[in-house]
Amino acid sequence: MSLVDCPAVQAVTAAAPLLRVEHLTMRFGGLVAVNDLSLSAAAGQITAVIGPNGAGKTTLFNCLTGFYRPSAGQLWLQRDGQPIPLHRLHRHQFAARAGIARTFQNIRLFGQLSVLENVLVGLHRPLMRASLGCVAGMLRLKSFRRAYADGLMTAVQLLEEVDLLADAARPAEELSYGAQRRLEIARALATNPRLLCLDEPAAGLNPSEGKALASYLRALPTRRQLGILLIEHDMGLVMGISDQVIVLDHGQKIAEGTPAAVQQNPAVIKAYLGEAV
Amino acid sequence: MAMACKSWLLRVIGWPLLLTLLASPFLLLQMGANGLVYRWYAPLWLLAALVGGQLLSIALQRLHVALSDTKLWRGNRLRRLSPMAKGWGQRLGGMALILLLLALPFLPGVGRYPIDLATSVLIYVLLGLGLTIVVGWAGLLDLGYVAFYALGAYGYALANQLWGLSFWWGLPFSALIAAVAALLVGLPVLRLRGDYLAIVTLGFAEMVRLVLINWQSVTGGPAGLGGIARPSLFGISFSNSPNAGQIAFHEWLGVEFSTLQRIVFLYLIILLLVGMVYGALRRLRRLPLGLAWEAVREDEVAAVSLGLNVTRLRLAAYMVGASLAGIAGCFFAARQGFISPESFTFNESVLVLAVVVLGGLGSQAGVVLAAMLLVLLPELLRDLADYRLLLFGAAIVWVMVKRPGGLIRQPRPDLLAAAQGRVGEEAS
Ligand SMILES: Nc1ncnc2c1ncn2[C@@H]1O[C@H](COP(=O)(O)OP(=O)(O)O)[C@@H](O)[C@H]1O
Ligand SMILES: [Mg+2]
Repeated sequence: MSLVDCPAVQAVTAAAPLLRVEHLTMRFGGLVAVNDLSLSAAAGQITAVIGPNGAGKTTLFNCLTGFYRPSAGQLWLQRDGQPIPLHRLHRHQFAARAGIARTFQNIRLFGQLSVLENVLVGLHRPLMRASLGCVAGMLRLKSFRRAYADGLMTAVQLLEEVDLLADAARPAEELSYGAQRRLEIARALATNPRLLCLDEPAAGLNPSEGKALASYLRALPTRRQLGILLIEHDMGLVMGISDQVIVLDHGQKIAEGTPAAVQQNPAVIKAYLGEAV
Repeated sequence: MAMACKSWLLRVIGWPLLLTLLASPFLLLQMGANGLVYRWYAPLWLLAALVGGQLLSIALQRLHVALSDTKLWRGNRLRRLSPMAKGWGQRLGGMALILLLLALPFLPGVGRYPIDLATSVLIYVLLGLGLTIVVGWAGLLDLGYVAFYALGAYGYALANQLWGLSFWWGLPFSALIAAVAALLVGLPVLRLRGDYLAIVTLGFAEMVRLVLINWQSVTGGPAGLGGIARPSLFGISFSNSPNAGQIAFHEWLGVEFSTLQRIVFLYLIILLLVGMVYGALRRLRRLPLGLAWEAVREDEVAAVSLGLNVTRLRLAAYMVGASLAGIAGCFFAARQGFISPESFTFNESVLVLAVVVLGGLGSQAGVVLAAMLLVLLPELLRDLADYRLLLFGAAIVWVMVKRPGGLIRQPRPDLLAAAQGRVGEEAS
């Protein structure tokens, strides 16, 4: 009996966290943006990553989504019972192979494309496969027309979820700030991710928009069977919807736990309020 | 509402007026039995026909919209509808335009010169359509597009001389040569930032031109290559003295020989080519590939985060664009029967780029209109020879100031409306 077939080992892998970051270090020249960081995130949960500006949160995301190659450390994503080594993937494979999708702190939409087209780009892989590169699409074969109609349906549903269906035909750049943030989430979800990384999704939203976003995010992990990694400065939002909170400062993890526990942690209070406390 | 009214006016009056103005120099003067005849009424006929056609097309669209259920894209009914259905009015309008263009050389009063000029315009339309993929859709600045045009032309000319390759086989051959060249140039460069491409393409075009000039034994050097086989129609030749095994067109038809026959044939070939490419690109633009190209242009970082292989997509755009230039080059060589490096200078790249930019970066209809303007304008201004370039430049500047988005700004396709066959419904 091989090790993989052993029931005990299987049980362990089944319970393995969705994401495992082991001893991640990211240096920019002399600057150490992330320093020997280890953390994990579970499927079906929201894991928040908080910390002061410059703590290395976005850098962590950039490593997780393939934009930076880590200076050291390993990143593993559990998918279909198999751990995938993220640190060995090519940039464009993170979405398809590992199922990681992200949004950006500075919104990055396809400004001139319509709202609907933005979401369709997220469906690029299945649509491209259905059009066999181009052949089936150019010939408008039935198989492609059906797949395309399915893709449109998926996109319509995603837009309906984020309340943007009425704007489907408008160029993305015309949307309000809050609507653009929602569109980025819908577009990321179109790739059908296992792990969704949201970089400050509530930044710039008004209070009512923030509330709507909170309830939407809260329901997302169970509905779509994914894990969320959430960077956010709005503490009300973070404490309200997260299952787990990780606190970074100067590229290092200084605390970790449930929202309630983290709020009481003296190291966290010190990092946020400075030495004075 | 004001917007809708304006676009309506543009459609019914504006475009017909513009097209009539462009065409009127050819319509006004006719070669009669005793010299030139001035026909002031001829453009009015065209104008009336165009306005009538637009009105009919709008009426049909309205009817179609009224007949189709406009609120059905919720739920599963979407699945049963063709996602890319076209409106009736559009289809009919397109067909009328195609018929008109096909009939153009046979219309009374259309002589050799307008047909020849129209052929030149169509070559630039083909080049413009190819470059619009690269520059307008994929957002890659290509300053040496003429290199692929030259490779296509010389590729066919040499293959014809060496292996007797016919024009019709020359078309795919030239496309292939240009695409392979694009692959070799693009592969190392497109891995880097897109900006480097502009410089490399500029150098590549100059390199190709210098090779053509200096590789005397193969390319004929500055003197160029002559005696390139003209297109034939299933073994029917359009020359006075056809090769062995070929029939001459005028004998086959039992009419007097005239070079006009060949000129008309060439016009019909390039019309066919442009028509096919135009239709194919319309389709391509809405496919996942076309959408991905535009996404990469809009934001490379976001595109990668969604799993798009940016390098491969750019390479594909570059190769498709190049292969269209190759086809245009093959046609050019077969039309002239003679080619030399002079036809493939940097100026040519700039002219095609001007067609694309003036046309509105990515708009296909814009490319057609811009090619008409940029080829016809210098012809019309021939009398003002000394001031030609000045006026030409001023005209371009004026257009870019008045319409910075290009002559025709292509609106985003409303895919949901398209899914219901509601294409072309006026936004109101
Ligand atoms: N590409 C880069 N080159 C150099 N320094 C960088 C780069 N990206 C991030 N940094 C630095 O890394 C540190 C962490 O930045 P970041 O991850 O954006 O912080 P946060 O998102 O937590 O506010 C900052 O000091 C920032 O200046
Ligand atoms: Mg940040």
